[in-house]
Amino acid sequence: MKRLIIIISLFNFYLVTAMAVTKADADSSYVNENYQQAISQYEELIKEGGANAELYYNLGNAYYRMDDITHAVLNYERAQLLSPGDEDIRFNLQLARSKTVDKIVPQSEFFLVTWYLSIVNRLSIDGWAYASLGFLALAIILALVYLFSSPIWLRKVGFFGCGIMVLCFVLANVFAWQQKQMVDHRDGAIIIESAVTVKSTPAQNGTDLFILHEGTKVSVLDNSIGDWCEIRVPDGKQGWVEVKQIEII
Amino acid sequence: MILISNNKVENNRWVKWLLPFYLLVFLPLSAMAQTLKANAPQQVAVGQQFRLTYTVNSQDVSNFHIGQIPSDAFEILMGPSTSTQSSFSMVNGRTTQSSSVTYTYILSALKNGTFTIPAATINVDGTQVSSNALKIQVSGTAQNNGGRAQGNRAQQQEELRSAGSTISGSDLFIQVSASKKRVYEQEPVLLTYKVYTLVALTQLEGKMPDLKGFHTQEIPLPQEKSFKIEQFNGRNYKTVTWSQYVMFPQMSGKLQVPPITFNGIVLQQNRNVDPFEAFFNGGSGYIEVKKQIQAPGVNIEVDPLPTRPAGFSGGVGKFSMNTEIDKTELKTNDPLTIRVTITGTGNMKLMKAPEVKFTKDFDTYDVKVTDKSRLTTSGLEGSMIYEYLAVPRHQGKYHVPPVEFTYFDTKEKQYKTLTSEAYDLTVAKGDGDETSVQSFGGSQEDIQMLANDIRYIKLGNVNMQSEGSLFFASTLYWIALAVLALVFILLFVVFRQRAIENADVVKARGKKANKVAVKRLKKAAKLMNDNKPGEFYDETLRALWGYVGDKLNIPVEQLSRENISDRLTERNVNAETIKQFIEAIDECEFERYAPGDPKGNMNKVYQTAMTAITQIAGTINKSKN
Repeated sequence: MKRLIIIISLFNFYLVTAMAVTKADADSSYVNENYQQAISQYEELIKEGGANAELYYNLGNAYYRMDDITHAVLNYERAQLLSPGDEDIRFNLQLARSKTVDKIVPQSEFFLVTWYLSIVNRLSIDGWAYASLGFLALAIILALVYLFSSPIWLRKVGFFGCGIMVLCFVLANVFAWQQKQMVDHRDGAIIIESAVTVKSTPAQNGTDLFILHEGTKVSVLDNSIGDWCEIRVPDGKQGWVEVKQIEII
Repeated sequence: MILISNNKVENNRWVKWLLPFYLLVFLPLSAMAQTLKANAPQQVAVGQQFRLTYTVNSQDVSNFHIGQIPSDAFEILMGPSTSTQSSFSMVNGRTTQSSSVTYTYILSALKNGTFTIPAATINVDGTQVSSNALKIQVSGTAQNNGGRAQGNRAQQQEELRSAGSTISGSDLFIQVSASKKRVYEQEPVLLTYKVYTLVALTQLEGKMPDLKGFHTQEIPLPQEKSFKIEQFNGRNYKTVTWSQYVMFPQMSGKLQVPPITFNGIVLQQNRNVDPFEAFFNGGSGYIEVKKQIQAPGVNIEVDPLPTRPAGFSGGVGKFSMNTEIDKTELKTNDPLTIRVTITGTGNMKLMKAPEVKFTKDFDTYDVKVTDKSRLTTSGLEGSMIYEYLAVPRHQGKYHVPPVEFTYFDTKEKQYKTLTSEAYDLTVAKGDGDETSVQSFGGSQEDIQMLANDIRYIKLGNVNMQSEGSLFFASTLYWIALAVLALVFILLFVVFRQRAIENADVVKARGKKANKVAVKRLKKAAKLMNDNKPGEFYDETLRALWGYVGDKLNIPVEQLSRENISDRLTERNVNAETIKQFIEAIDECEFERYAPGDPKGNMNKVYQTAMTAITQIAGTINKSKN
């Protein structure tokens, strides 16, 4: 176990040293208010495979400084997807969202769902993964206590503690899995054209239903039809837009 | 509108006849301060007739004496003719009246040069009043200067052409001149429209249209226009500066001031006057002819300003700045005024007010702007006064940074920044009304959000991992789970093994217990035969205690009668057997120290111990099986 951890940390260290220079470069570009350069550097970093909540967050900040609210929102959303519990990301996303054109009042959610999601989003996927390992380790210790200790009270603690820890382990795995589903099957998208007319059918001659402006978040319901996809606005409205008018988070 | 008087002389006979009536009416009215004013054109041509008038604003006059007119320069053609004028008005019960007498001479200039007409004198209400002296410049020659009398007529003819004759572009035209043809944006240009005429122009109308590229302001000129003689192309024109505009270009590039059409009215002589018509229609033998005059357009090249620096006020020209503060030591809630005065020439009306950066904690108000500029031919001149009012709400020391004003200097063709001094303010606590102004519910106040901004970026190194390589559900994760499971199994097995081994030791001791007890009893029997009672009892006790200790897996030192009976009861040994065993121990301990027949007792004790051990062994073995 110990050796394994050492191997993991060595592996991480190797990766960090390989790319740290560029991240620091991008940060210093941002600090020197050279936002355009910071944007290209962060984007290069992400392209190189360093998709990371902090990189997306910093990129979003750089876009925000360039007054490109739409891309700022897009990158904050990506950052939040990867690190849903981060307070800074949530704050900046909220601020950037408040500067977009469309004011959308989301449909009200059942309060238990809200609670559940707030718990799920408390930690990131890997956060839950590590937590689940911790729970499992505790469960094992408590199980051994139950099995091999002679005082009755210790055996009781061991038994119930072990049960709770096993439950926590299962829940942590469920939460992690659920978040992974969200990341793997991304259905969120941001409108990137300044004004998009949402149609009733996937065709140019469809009836114009409503108009969305850049920076608005929608969820994609159906993208099986080549150039068009069906979207839903958080307030419940649905319609079809062209794929090139949106960008998946 | 222009009124040009004809060189006609009033017939003053009627006026003289009417005079007594005027006098009768106005005599009771008091006279005002009397002046005698002389008036004549400043510039005339040789042979030109002109009028010299003396006006006195009273009617009680006598003894008018004209000064000595230089006879070699001017010839008096006519005069003096007297005219009187009175006006009487009653407004809201207040009566005002004015009256004047005018003496008119018609003179003709004889030669070039500058001549002075000395002051005239008159007796008004018994006091002697003298007029101003006049300076007249005689230059050029009136056209058709054949003879004096003929010349007059000719000039009159020249001006008053006969009806129907055309007025050519060289008779009447307007010239436009711009003070500069190439300027910077916002730099003022003076446009002058000058009328040149050979004909009797009586009225002229023409307006500058609204121009897109310019901010236009007209310079007010006196309503009364007086002509000057100016030679142009060999002819003596009567000229007048008709209008002047100051133009501030608002964009760069080639800007055009379009041609403007003026509507003029020219007086022409009507030679075939029908006397009857003249009588009924009041025809005077003159008709008015409308004439359109086109003033040419002007092209002005406007250069854009160089790259504007941050904080550019929009001012173009030449300025200076002066700042004043009314006090630097004050109390809370005392208003404070900073006055910034910008003086100079330029586009003052189009500048932004400079910014005074008070601490946000101060209550500030809108800038009060006082415009003290006036339009001159070089643009707007004067000063703009900006007053900034601020009220400190808290005591302390505050710093007001210098006020900066950036403008474009047209002379040096570069931006200049004027900087004032900085002020340090000391605000003392006011007279206890701070709280009453601020809030009613206590001395705490809400934190004011000055602005909303995003949070800072995340610095430092990050774990650079690709999006797909999550720890969750990765091989590593499964390995970690497997390792934990293995650890569990391993520990389980180890603990279990130890438990089993532990159990085996107990079992072995239990099994050995009988053997040990038998061995010890055999030794005891031998001691009994050797008649060694002390050692016999010791050995028997050891056998009893040792046996039960081994059987129950309890160290011998911890044994007592109570815990023996308890543990044996747990192992389903019946009470009878336990009692027998305890009695065997008791008897053994008693006999060990009791006097009497040790030999007989020894045998009895031996038997009891033997029976107790056998019985317990039987019961425990039975319950185990």
